[in-house]
Amino acid sequence: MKAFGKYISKYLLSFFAFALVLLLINILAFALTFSGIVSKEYGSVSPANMLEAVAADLSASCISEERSQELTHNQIWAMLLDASGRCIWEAFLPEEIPTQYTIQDVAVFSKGYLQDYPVFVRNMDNGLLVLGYPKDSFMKLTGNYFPVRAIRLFPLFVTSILAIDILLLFLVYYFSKRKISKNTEPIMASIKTLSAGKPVDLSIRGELSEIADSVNQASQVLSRQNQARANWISGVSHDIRTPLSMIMGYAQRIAGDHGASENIQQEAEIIRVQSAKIKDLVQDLNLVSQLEYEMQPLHKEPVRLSKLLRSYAADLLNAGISEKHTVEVEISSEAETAVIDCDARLISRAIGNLVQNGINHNPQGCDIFLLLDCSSENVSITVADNGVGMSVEKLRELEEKPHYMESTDERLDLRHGLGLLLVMQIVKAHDGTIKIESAPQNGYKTVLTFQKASL
Amino acid sequence: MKLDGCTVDFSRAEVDKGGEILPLTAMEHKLLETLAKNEGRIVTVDTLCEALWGDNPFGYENSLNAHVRRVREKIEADPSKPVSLLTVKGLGYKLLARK
Repeated sequence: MKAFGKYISKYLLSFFAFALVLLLINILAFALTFSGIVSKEYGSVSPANMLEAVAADLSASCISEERSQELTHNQIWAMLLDASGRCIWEAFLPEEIPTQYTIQDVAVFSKGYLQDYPVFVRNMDNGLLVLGYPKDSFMKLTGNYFPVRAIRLFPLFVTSILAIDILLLFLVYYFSKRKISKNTEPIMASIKTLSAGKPVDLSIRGELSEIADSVNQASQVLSRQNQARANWISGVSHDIRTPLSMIMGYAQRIAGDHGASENIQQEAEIIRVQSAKIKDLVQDLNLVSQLEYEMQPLHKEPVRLSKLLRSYAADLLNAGISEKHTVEVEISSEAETAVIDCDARLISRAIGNLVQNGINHNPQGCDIFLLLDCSSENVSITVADNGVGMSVEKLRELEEKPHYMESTDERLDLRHGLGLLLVMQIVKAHDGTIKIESAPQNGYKTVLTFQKASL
Repeated sequence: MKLDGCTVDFSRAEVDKGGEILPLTAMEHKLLETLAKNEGRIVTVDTLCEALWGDNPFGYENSLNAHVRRVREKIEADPSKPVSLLTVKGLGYKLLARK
């Protein structure tokens, strides 16, 4: 996001630099265009210079040949008026120019024009020198006056209007940048989400809508792939279920067949137990893939955990576990009424997986405890056994191991067991936390904590 | 249903204990019936409360215990040492039929 902002700032700087260069080019062009005119019209033949030159000549004696050449060459005429307005000297005076002037005439023409000739006057000792330039050579602004206050205000006005211009430019830039950022930030965020493997749905109007469409499409492709994968796993697990049920059914029959030898009965029982494990594994696989790709809609409702725990334990014991394992349920009196919003099926499954792990890791037998406790805000379910426990390294591995689905490690034993992975997913789907404590020969304890349902 | 030491007649809601006919109250009948339907299996206190007092039973656990006690007095030879209507600690109760 920051990089993008920097990009825009750099863009702005280059924009301003270009504007400055443009301004300089303009000034240069102006100078080049008008310098010719300026030098021509303001050079040695300018009214100021000519007035001075001619006056100098006249006060000496009369105008020089050189001066005459200059005057004719530039079509300038001249005359000298005395104090009463009478022309006492002239050079190249056009016919229409009068030779007698009243004080009013002098006042009027000295400011501007005499018979459409732009005239320029200079005071001399013996009279008023008047130089007339060709018509349409100079334009004089007559009747111009400015209040001093306005003149004084002018520089201040220029600087402040310039400052306001810059400020307005900056504001326009700022708001347009904000608008762009506002539109690009959601795009950045969605691309980030997409790269994490999650679907997105952007809605942007305007110039960037095309990009938004592409992002949405990419998300859809991702979702479809995930769905296809989950569906495939679901299909396969379903196909496994039927033959597995048959195996379990017959194994159970043989195990309960008193006509068969004791050996055969025992072996059949082993077949049944192991088949049951396969069934659980396949079911877990299915659930894990569905939760992973968020295809399992959670049917959350308020559930009293004490009831759920008791149901689970009763069903487990009724289904039968070996005598070497015992299951005990302890529910604190405060936790008796604790309720959480959850999918009861999934929570039971999570507890079941933890209990089964305890049983499987302790074939020699152990005691399993299901505890329910709560605080003012949370409820915690504890599944603990007093079995062999787990070494410190294995425990650390458990906490640091990468996600099952992302693990690219070839060694199977380095990845989480599927049962525990499902528990973690279910806990995560309910915004809960999971904590595992264990020590060698000192049992294994898992605590699942959830927030109490708001009433 | 034949239990250890007595016979229960569900249709008449009676217990025949060694010749003596003991009637069952409606609650006791419901309780025994629920347990008998799940003979040999654990029935949680929640299930029993629901059967006796309908949906969302709350705080009825003590009443349940009282009813269990009364049923035991009617079906057990020694109510303090039950062999048919067993308590499963922390979970509920279990009814065992005669072997």
